[in-house]
Amino acid sequence: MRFAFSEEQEMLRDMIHAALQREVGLDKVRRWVDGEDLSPFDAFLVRNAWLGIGVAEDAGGQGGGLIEQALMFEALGRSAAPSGVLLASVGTLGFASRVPGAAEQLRGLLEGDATGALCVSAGLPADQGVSQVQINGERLSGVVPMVLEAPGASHLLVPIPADEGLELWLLQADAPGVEIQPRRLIDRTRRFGDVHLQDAQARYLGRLPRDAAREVNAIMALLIAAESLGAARRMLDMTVEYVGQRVQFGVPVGSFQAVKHAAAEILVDLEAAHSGIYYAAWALSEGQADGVPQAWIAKAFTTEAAVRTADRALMLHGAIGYTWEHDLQLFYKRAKLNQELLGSPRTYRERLAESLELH
Amino acid sequence: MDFSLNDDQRAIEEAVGTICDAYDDNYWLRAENEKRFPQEFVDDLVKAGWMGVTMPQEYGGAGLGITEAAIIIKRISRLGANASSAVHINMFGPHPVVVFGTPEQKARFLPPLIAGKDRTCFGVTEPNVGLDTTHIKTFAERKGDRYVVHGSKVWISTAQIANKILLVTRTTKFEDAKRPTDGLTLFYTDLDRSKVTVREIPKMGRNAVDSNELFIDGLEIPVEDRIGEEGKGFEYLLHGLNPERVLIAGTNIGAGQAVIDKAAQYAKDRIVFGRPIGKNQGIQHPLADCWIRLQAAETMMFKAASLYDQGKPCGLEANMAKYLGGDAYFESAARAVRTHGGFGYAKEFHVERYYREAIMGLIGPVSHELVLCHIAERALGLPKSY
Repeated sequence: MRFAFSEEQEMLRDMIHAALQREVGLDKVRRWVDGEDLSPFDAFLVRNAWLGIGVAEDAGGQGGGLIEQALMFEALGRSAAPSGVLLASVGTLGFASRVPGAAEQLRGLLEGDATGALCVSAGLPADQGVSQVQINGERLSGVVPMVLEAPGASHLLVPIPADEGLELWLLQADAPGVEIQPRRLIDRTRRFGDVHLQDAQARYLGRLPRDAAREVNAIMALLIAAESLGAARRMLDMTVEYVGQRVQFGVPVGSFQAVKHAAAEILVDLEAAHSGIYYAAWALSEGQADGVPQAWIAKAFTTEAAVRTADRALMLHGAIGYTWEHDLQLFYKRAKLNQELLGSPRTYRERLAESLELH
Repeated sequence: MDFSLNDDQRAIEEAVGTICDAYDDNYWLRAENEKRFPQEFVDDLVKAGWMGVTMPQEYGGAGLGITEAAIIIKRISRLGANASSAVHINMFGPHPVVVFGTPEQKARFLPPLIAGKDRTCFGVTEPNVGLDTTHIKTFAERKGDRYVVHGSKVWISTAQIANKILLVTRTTKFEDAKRPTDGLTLFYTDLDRSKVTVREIPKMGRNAVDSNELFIDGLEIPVEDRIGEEGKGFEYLLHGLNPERVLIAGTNIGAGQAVIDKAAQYAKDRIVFGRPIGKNQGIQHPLADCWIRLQAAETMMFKAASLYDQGKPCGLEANMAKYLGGDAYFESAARAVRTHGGFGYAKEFHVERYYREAIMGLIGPVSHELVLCHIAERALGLPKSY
């Protein structure tokens, strides 16, 4: 058993880090957030063809698999980059590619000609679909609140529960009867909007089996976990740096055990998260039987650990960490939102409990 | 609001403390290892008149309140559960007799208890009942001027040496009772060993004071040993629950404070890397944290005791005190062992003895989970969950 990244994976990771450092500094992220315009980062993603990382070459992607995608999301979390478009793309393409013929219709997504949003409420698992949308012939009606990356999307993929699976319907965002009202959540590096449909013309793409929906949802959960891990690692680094500089009673506060033990406990949390995430990524990509539950574990554990990290990082920074000027807030908010995104830790623990056949 | 002890209360604490101080850690270590009941210690408390603290003065007691009882049991409990359990039941167990007994019964029962001539045990729970008290099966059948009892009891402390038992029975079967809480009847009577087999339960800690299973086969109880009315026993038991919880809080808090004192002393004495280990925040912060929790529990305990002594409702406070005290003791004992490092695991440093006892604070006489149920229902108005 060799539990390590390959040389190619390490090269990819370094390349991603370098590109993010060069082109996506925190000053830029702040500017995009303050101007409420994340499109420069969307352009960066298209320019670098990152939407295709983890997508097979014959499907128009860059190749690589889930481990490569997880490395990318960890790096995105580390730099507080506006990663919502990528996650939305993983969801939409993931769903579509598991329905014969459907992926063709969404091909433009990888080239940046189109942007897709998976039309589900951001706080719930995507594999539940949206039962509140009614189908009348080929027209859809209903309201789906808080859809990730709905503002700015050119296409909406609506999964509607139907006999042991999901019916996939594709909408154009600018079609009559489609209205998207932007919503501001705590983390403004990602876009959310309420989708209102009123007899909106849609195209039926086919039926996605339940297990396939679960697998895609697990992949999304895993990538959110990877992103939380990256954000938490950055917060730990910032904290360690700060407590080494901040002097009280004539010594750096980091020399107090109460401080250094807290930092050490964060590291223990994050190393555990790291192992869980990359094992789950391997298990899912190898089709292991425990792949899906391992991704649930990674999501529940990591997003919670990242919130613990955020709280402790804030505490160890003292009042300065509470300010808008300090960069900690960007990562803090990402960790908080990721905990709820695609379903809370409680949701996934409940799924795990069910699979244990507890009564 | 006055949070301080008055002069009398301080004098009580000091007087009890003087007796306790004569019994050092080595005495309790020996008693634990040899599983020997601490009779000398009990005799000293009897001689000084402490057994009757909460019993009425006309029967030889001191007529004091639960506040004073809590002070006493907390001080005794610094010595550990072997000390508190050796006296607890005789000091406070006969509460239903005090409250619901006839003057004739009190005159017959209380003076020998206070004099240490009688020793009682308390038989409530049963093997398949746990905390679901109304489901007890032990049955007392009326036959003329006596009752004949069959059944079994479990977790009965001091039944090896007791000559009396406060016994909870059913006189109407559960299925025949109008309400589940009807049909329980209370007795205070002789523990007739020709009709009651007492089997000791080997256990993890508190080994100087026995815990037992009782098999009752035809125990005859004269009607005059029945406490209160037939069928009203559950009500009488409820009456004693709050003071019991306050006193259990006291046992856990007293033991917790003692074990943290031991840990703090060790942290001052033990030198590693050229300085006392107590200079490390990794050592001193957890001890401070435990101390805070113990103090908070103590404040809650005195609040509950004060309410009870004023005749006011104290169910929430008594349960919270038990919860906070049990939790704080458990954490304190574990922390004391860890502070001692490897030596904490050695019997000669005494903290492991407390560690083995501390888990009882989370289990008995009511589990933490049921305390949470009580608070959820009574403080927050949430529906009953069990």
